Amino acid sequence: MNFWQQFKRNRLAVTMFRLLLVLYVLAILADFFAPYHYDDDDVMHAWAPPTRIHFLDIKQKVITPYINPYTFSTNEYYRRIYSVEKNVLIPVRFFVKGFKYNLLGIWSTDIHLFGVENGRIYLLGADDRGRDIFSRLLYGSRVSLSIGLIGVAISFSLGMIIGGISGYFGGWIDTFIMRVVEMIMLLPGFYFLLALRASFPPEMDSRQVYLLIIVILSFIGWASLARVIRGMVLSIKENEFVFAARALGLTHFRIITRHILPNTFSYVSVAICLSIPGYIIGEAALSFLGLGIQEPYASWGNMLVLSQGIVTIEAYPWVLAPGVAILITTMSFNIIGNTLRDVFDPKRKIL
Amino acid sequence: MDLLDIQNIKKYFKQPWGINYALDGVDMSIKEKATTALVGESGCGKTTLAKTILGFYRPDSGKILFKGEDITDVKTNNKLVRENIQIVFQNPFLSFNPRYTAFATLYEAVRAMNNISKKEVRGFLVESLNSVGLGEEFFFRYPHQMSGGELQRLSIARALINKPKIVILDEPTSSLDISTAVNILKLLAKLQQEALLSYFFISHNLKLVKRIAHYVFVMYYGKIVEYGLKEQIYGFPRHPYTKLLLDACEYKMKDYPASGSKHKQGCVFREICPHSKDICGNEPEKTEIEPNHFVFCHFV
Amino acid sequence: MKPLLEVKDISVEYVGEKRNQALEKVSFDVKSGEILGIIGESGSGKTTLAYSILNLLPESAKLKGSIIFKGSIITEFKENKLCYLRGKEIGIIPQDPAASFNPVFSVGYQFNEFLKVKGICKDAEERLVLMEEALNKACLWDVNKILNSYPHQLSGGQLQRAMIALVIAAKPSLLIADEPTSSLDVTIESQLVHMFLRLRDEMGFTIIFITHNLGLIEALCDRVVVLYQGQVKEMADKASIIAAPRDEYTKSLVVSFREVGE
Repeated sequence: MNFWQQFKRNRLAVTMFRLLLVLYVLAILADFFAPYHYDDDDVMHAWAPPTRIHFLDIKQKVITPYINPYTFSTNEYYRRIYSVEKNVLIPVRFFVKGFKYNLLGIWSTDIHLFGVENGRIYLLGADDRGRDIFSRLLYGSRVSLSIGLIGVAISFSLGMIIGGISGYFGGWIDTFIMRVVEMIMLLPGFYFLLALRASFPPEMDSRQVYLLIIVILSFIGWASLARVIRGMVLSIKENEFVFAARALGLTHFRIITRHILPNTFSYVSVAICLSIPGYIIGEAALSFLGLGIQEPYASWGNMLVLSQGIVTIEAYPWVLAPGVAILITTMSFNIIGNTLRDVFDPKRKIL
Repeated sequence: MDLLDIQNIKKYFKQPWGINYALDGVDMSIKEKATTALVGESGCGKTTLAKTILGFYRPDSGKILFKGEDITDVKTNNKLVRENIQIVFQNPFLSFNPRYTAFATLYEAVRAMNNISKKEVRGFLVESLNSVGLGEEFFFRYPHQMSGGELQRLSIARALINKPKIVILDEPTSSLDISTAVNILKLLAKLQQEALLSYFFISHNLKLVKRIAHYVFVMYYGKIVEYGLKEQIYGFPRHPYTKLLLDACEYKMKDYPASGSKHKQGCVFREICPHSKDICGNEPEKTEIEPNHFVFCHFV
Repeated sequence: MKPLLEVKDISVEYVGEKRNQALEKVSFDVKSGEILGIIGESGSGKTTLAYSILNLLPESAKLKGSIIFKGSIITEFKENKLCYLRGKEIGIIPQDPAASFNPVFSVGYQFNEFLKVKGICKDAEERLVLMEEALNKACLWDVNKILNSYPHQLSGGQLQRAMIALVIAAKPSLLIADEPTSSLDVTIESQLVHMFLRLRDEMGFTIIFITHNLGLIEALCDRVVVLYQGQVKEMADKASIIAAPRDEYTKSLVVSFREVGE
């Protein structure tokens, strides 16, 4: 049975895989799917609850979907109590014009998937400044979903190459690299992250911060992988096909990259899936503490800053939406990783 | 001058429980266009010798000469060794990168020496596959889709693809069924005649070697104990260990104490030897008992 | 006299991505006190046959047919009854001795454990004597060294003989040896051949000897079953098979065996 057939047998993993694909598409085309810009605020709609979309008119007839606009009054604690004006219908339109953006960075356009022409639509409610949480969630997913992939790409290529060199050559090279690895593994990861971040100016541009987080996380992440890869290389290099390749006069570089490291891929692909959540959570944690992506840019972590108070959560539970997004994403990666591990496990292979 | 001259090679491995005298002063020569067999039980240093010749181990002392040129340190003469000495391993299932098809494996071998594109090389690779009795249908098969015999043929094709002078065959048939093994031996003999190859055939089975070898070296724990032409070794074995091996092949040998010589001085075989006397504590002289037939024993 | 073991129309099929008929209507019998050789090349179903006798096949294998051991049909036995049979009545000597000992325990510990768990000998002192006897029968004289060693400290031949000692200590009525010598040197192989002969002659063990080497059959066995692609091709006395093979496959086997020798 080949790899995909075995993978497909696990329905949950396949569902999670599809879900992730959808999330990535949403992230890439966030400008198109988001009705508002991430910094498009409207004080008149601060803390507005999720908008209900109606498909039936008063006579229970199906018409084009519409929403009712909000009005609010304040209660004795100066908290806004929103209510809808039932007699005003604002139709929800598809492919409407909105703010201008570059789709995929190429086509300049202002068409969005959906939107309303007057009034505002909040699929997942609004935050304290009346910004659309749904739109910000989409923009934030760009950070959270890409940081895992890029971070893993950097740390795993580092880990594989360094681990491969260490295991293949052995001797003092191995000893030296492993001592370095141990030193890095000794660092308490998250506090090191905090310390490093603190040593850079707090008013850094968010793009720089984003890169900085990736670099820091990858710098911590490669060490443990290098150690495992080194161990695998030590056993793979004793295989006769490696000796055959050496007898043929292939260069060391080619033997490592083409003959030894590919044979660790089954482990590595599992490890990748299981370590991406670490990056996502690392970024979210930094941003949550205000050290990562800064306002007005959106990331799942800095959106969660709003949910620091229990009062806020009690009054406006929709601010937890980014938390749910983090949960779903990390769980998907974990489930896929576990399934991959089962698929690659030789003991489960049929005789 | 012999094609390959191995002069007094020593290779010791330091291990927690003492020194392992894997190769303890081995003198050998591999003749051109002939098969030289090295026979001994597992752990006696056969594979270590093969790997030393290929430069995977650096010997502690001694010299290896290929056509008179020193190849003991592979780094200085890398190209010469890689072009002229190739190896076929015992276990065909471990000898191939599991992620490479037969085509990729052979192409990788060609590419190591020459700079040819994949398209140009195809015909050449087909020819090489055919020469070991594999059809074109094997081109895009992965190792796990092939049987042991087929893989061993592919292994031979890979070893021969750059037209080496010497092929080291490290027990190439011992993990195969007898009928397959016979076919592989026939193929090897045919290829030897066609390409004028020299084989260095390593085996633990004297019986198997009889079919293919011209010269036979018998090794026991890092030392050569007897060598000569095939007819001499099989017809008139003189060293007690050779006799014992021949008996074992016929399943005549009844008792054999577990070995592993710890002595560095003197005859390595003296712990087990039925004729062992005090004199065996001295290093046995190399005695030529008939032309080309040498024995290391005090009692010849 | 009734045979010790009767195998009647055994078929084994592996159900997986593609169906694979490992054995097809294999029948033979083993008489008490004989060495029956089963010869076949890799993929002929030898090992499947050995494991199907004790129902140790993987879950994906479907077994049909019946196996009668000492008059009872063991293919109908429940797992716990089979468990009793394994080791105590029928012993299996595996192919690779290094893989069949647990590397983290000493040989003596594992030997002791086996005797204790199987209820062969309750008393600790007696067990020691029993182990020594068994090791001696398997031509291992340096008993204390063997028992105190860990598997990696012993050579393949020593380990295989220790394994044989372990198996025969339970005095099973039937020994199944699944290529016990194929990973060993000829010197040790030769010695094991004589050990098996002694086990049969002096202690009356019945042995099924599975191999791909006709030379071993010639040296060791009384009768031979020739297995090819899951079917029994020929079953006869050793002498008649080697002198006058009838089946085409057996003929080719004998021919290639002769060719190696020349």
